[in-house]
Amino acid sequence: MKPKPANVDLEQIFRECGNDLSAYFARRHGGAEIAADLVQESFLQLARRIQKGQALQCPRGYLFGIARHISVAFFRRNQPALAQGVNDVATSVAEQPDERIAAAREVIAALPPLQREILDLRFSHGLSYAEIATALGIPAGTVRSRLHHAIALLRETMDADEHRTRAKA
Amino acid sequence: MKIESIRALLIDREFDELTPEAAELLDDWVATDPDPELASEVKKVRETLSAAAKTTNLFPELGRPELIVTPLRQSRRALLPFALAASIILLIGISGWAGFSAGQHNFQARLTKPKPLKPIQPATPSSPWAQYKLASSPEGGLMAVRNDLKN
Repeated sequence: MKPKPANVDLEQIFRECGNDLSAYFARRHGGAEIAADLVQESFLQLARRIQKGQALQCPRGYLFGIARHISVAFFRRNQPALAQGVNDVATSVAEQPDERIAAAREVIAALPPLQREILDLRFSHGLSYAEIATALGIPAGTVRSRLHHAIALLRETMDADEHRTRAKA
Repeated sequence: MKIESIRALLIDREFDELTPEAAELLDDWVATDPDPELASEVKKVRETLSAAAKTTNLFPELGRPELIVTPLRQSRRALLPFALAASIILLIGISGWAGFSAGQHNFQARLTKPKPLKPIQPATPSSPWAQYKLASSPEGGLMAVRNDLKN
């Protein structure tokens, strides 16, 4: 027996998440054209899954999950071409004058990839715990604890820096 | 309530993850509690979240699981041997150039101002060689002839 397509308004999801998804791809791969192509690919995959009868508890999180896989695959396909872009980012990083931000970057860079990704999805894309959990395929409690742990580490570093600055003064 | 629990609640509140009722209760408590530590805690949580948001926005590579991001301090340490090698090469280059230009300067100075040649001193009369001079040989070439003997 063929699965019944789920009753989901794809157009509404596109209206709600299209721009966010476009920003997600543009941030990762640069270029509006690439982002538009990848957004289209994401919605195509979503439509296929809906057609197969996939139930969507959290469409936004689900869509970001698809986008994440597409982004990784795209990066693997175009690794040499994108390497330049990554270096450009690294250069802009080195020129940042704010010590506090530089220290925060050190802390975040030392975190495991999954934790870094949780931070990015929360702070750069505004996803909720539940949406991040759906996107990454992990429990929402894990998202919360990893996020809180990362923030606690940041807080410790910032406090230590503050104490050092006070001691110098 | 433990400070860790308060912190966790404040973070969840900032992320808009609390139910409306819980958020309202927390807001009321923060607004009415006279404890300055609580106010300072709220401020610090907000500052930390703001720094985290700024950092993740500034450095998109941090959120990419497919990239290995090295902390800047580590990458600076990794650059140290290259910096050392570059400085050694630079030092050798500068000293080589300085030596070459100094040598060239001396050579040109020698060319432009020739040193006066020392007159060739005749052999001292006491020397046994003072009795001899060079003359052309009738058979061709040179021959040594004694000075003191005529014909």
